Amino acid sequence: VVRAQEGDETAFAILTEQLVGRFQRVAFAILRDPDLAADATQAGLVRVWRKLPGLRDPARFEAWAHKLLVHACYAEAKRARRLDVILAPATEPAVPDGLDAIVRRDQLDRGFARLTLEQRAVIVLRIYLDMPVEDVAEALDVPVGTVKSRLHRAVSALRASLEADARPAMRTRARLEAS
Amino acid sequence: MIDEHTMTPAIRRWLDESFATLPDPASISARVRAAVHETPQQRGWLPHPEPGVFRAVFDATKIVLSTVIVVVFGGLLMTGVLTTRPNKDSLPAVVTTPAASARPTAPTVSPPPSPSPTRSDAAVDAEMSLLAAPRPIRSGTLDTPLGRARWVYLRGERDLIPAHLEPVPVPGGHVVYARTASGHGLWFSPDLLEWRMRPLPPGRPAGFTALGGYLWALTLPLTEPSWAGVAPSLWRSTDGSDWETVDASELFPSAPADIEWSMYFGEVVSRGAMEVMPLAFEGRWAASHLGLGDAWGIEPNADGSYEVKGGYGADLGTVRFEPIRGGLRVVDATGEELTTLDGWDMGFIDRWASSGPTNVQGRVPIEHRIAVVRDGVLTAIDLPGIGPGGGPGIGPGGGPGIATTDQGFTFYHVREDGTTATWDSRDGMSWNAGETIGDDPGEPRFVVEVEATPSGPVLVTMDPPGDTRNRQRWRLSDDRTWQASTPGTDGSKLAWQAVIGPARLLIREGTEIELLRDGDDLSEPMETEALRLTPGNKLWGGAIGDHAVVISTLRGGRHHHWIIRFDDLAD
Repeated sequence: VVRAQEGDETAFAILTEQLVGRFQRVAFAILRDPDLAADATQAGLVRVWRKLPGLRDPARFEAWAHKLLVHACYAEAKRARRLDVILAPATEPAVPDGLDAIVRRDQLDRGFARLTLEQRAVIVLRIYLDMPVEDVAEALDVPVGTVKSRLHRAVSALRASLEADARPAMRTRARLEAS
Repeated sequence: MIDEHTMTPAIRRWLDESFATLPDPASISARVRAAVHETPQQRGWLPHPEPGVFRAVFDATKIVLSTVIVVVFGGLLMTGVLTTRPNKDSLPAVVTTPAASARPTAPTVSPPPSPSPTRSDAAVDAEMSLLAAPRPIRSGTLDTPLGRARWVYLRGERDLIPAHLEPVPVPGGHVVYARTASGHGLWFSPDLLEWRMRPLPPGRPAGFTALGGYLWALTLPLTEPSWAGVAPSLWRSTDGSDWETVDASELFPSAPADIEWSMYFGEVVSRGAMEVMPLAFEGRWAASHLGLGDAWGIEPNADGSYEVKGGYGADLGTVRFEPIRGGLRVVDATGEELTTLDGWDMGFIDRWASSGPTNVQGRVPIEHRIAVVRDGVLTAIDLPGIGPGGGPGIGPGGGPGIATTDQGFTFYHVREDGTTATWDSRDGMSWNAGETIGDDPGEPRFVVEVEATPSGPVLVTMDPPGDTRNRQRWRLSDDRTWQASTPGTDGSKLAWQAVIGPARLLIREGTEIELLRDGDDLSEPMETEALRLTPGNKLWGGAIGDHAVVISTLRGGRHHHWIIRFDDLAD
């Protein structure tokens, strides 16, 4: 991190290799679109590069970098809205499994899609990455108390959404509106 | 149903499963590496300069200032600028002009112009990033009087796609150099419909043009915030794919090498197979020698001292300016002398303080040359007798303008007094001083733009300068007589036209598009409903070769472009 801070592109390339997969997953969880996630991941990593000299405590790199990624996701979502992209899950099951699992996955697909970007972000950072609440707070630029309340509301909203959703799952692919 | 107890592991498992469908991130890594190579890091937390640094900075500036004082003030006094217009506009340009003192002719000194936002490097900053090639929003075909045409509709936010798309032919297709306030990119298309990215030379972009069958790019080291005394790299490519560096040193004027030149590409004008392009050279303000960001200013305190402010609001300390014989003495808060400013008086300090921070990237035009390509080499040609100095700048790029004439080319260079000096060339290679326009009543004065039109040069004037209500267009009614018309009152509603095969495509005000076949006296409206052009929006555009056209508009804060390619022209 320190070498990259000093402008060492090779060092940053190593950092990129370590971060890119995780960044891509986090961005995908927030944006629910693989192309947007790729763009946000790229934008987030470039922001990390640009702003790295301003990072005062390299030990806080992880939370700090995730903050930039989350902001990049928000920006990407805003840009996508401007381009009339309708965000919707575009994934297919990777591994064949039982009907219950498929139904559960479909329910989560739809429930997660109904969450706000901020709610998805707090879920993926706290629950998936298992980041400490303090780090999530730093990454999301909000107080610790807000992280806890936002997480509670996100999980509650997800649960409520799943419970209210009794219809069969239906996937739609992201599409560009030809307005 | 998922209950509360299984929620967290279920979410984790579900996320893991969905991630399995994601593509290999290697392509993202590659894009990041490429972008990083083009993207400088932000180093806004500049250290507070130590007093010694401040002194060194002043010392560095002192040499320049001392040189400038004699030249600039001498020039200003000689030209009467200081005595006739002692206002903010006459703030000494503080420009490095040793070239002027080295020349046998007295320099013509102009008031410092505002940095032009249209200059090629005006938007270069830490936010510069690669612009992705646009993806088609819609596409389709049109039946036109010229046969079938294919079209594509592109759009994007203003920082993602430029207002003007100017495809340049290269082997296998066309390239577009896209430049916006936030980034740049080179886009390639084999058919003008589908676009993808092509590589740009590494480095900080400082200029791009297509001239003489080559693409030319100027770059600066990424570590440099702008032109700062570093030599630019000049790159050449035939296809926008493979770039090679070529020597750029010959392009610069032969004046003393200690001038920190910057160079700007102007608008390319072609006549037959010959293409010429104005090159403008500027020297930077002496204040930029502080090198501390975007601006350097002084703010007066109640006790007569001044706070010196550097870039990013950095406080460089408190100074006093004490008049001494032949200049000013600069002392710090403890009374220690930092430097002297020979030749300056407190009037300069007052003007400096009242003008606010001086943009360290502000530059003053000093030299103008003509660029042509000879045997694959970008070559600069001198304009005899043009001398140093500049004016408010004319031409779309803010620099001098060139237009084609019946005899060849004419180079127009506006002078500070509102007249326009000209140079003529038959072949683009040899240039001779021509007439001066604006000396006689009834001639255009204060030219702000030169248009090279098929029917001859058009000079756009704004007299008095800055008064947009008094914009006029001047054409030559014969070889020597200029006639003015106010835009919109000459009976023409024509926005622009393009030659497409055997016809001309005309766009009139609004969104009416016509195809006019040469020789027929019949214009046929082109069916454009499929394009969904909204009536009432101003359109602009241009021809792409003789078989395609790009039509553009600005709507809803976005740039919209329609590229129409006529496929059946051979029929």
